[in-house]
Amino acid sequence: MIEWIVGILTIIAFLFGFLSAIIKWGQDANLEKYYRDTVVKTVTKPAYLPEAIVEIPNEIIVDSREKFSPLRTYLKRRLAQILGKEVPPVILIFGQYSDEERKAFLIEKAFASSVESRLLDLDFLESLIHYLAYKCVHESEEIEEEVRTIVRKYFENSKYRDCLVRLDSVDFSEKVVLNPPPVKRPLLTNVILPMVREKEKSLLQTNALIPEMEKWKSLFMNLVNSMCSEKCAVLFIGVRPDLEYVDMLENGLARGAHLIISARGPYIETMLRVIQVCWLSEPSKLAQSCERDDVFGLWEFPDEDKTACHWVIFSKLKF
Amino acid sequence: MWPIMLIVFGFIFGVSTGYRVVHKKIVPFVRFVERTDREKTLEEHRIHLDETTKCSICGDNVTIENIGAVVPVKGDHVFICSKSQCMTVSDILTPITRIIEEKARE
Repeated sequence: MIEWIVGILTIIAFLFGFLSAIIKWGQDANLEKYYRDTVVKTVTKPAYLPEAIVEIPNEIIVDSREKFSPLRTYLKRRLAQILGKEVPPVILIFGQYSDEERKAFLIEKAFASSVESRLLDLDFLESLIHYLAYKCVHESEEIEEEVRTIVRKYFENSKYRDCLVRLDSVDFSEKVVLNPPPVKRPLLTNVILPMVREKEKSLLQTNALIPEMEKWKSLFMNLVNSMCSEKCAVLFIGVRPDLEYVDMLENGLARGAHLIISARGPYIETMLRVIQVCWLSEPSKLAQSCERDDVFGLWEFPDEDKTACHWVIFSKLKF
Repeated sequence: MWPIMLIVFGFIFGVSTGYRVVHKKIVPFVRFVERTDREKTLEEHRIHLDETTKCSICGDNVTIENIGAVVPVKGDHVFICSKSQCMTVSDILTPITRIIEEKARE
C-alpha cells in the first residue's frame, strides 16, 4: 500500500516538475518573465505617467512556435483559466524580430496601451510612445544595452522629439506656468496627458460623434504646438487672493494664443469666481476675443488624494 | 460542526468565484510570426485578406505583403499594416479591456 502511494506521489511530482520545466523553458518564457518583471515594473513607475493613465496587463503569454511551444501555450492558458483569468484569442505579430527587438517592442506596446488616445495626432502619439519608452529604458538599469540602443534609435527619428523633451522638462514648465506650484512637475504629465485622458473619457461616455472628437483633437494639438513655442500660458489656482489670479489671468491672455487654467478640489470654486470677474469686467477681454473650452475630470497622482479637477482653456480667436 | 464548516467554506468559495468572474484579469496571448510563416499562420486561424481588409490606424489596404498585426476583438479581427507608425501607436495589449470598459459604461 505504502509503495503504491509513494509510487503515485513520485509520478505526480515528476509530471509536475516536467510540466513546470516546460512552462519555464525557452525564449518565450524569458520574454514573458521580462514583460512581467521588467516592463510592467518600469512602465508603471509614477515618474512616467499619472496613475490614472497607466493600465496594462500584469502578464502576457508568448508563443513563437519554438520547440514545446504548443504544449507550453496550452498549459499556460489552462493554468490562467483555472486561476480565474481570461485568455482571449491569439494576437499575431508579423515580422522578423530579434530577441532584443521583441523586448523593445513589448516596452513600446506597454506605453502604447497606456497613452492610446483618439484625441492626439498620430505623429505626436508615435513620438510620445517612443519618448516614454526611451525615457524608461534610459533610466532603468535592468534593461540591456542592445534594447536601449534600439529604443533610442526609434526616439531619435521621431517628429516631435524636441517638443516632447521641452514639455517633459521642469525648467521649461517654469517658463510657461505663470505661478509655479511648490511641487514642480513637467507640463506633459501635469497638464497635457491628464487633460486629454479625462476629456476622452467624457467624450466616450457621452458617445460623442467624430466631428466633436476631431474638434478636440485639433484643440489639443494646437495647445501642444503653442506650448512648445511658449505661446501658451498655464495658471494653477490655489490659496492666493482672487485679485492676484485676475491679474495673472489677464497677463496670461496677453502672452500668447492660449491660456490654460487648472484647479483642483475646493479651488475649482475660486477659479470659476476669478473667471466670472474677468468675464464681467469692462472691456471684457474674455467675452470678445476668446473661445472657452472646459475639461472636467479626476486628478490621480501617487502620494496625493484623488480629487476633482477642472481645466478651462481659453483660445484667442484672432492670433 | 462539519455542516457549518462546509457552509462557510462554500460561501467563501462562492464569493471569491463571483469576484473573480466579475473582475476577470485578461492575459494577452501574443504570437510572433516569421515572414515565411505568414500564409500558413493566417490559414491556420482562418483569416482571409481581401480588398476590404483595411488597416485600423491609417486605412490602407492590408495584404499578405504589408500585414503587421492581427488583433482579435469581439469575435472579429482588427488589422494593422506594417508601417512603423501604425505598429507603434496600435494598442494590442488592452483593446479587449477597453471594450469591456466601454460596454460597462453603456
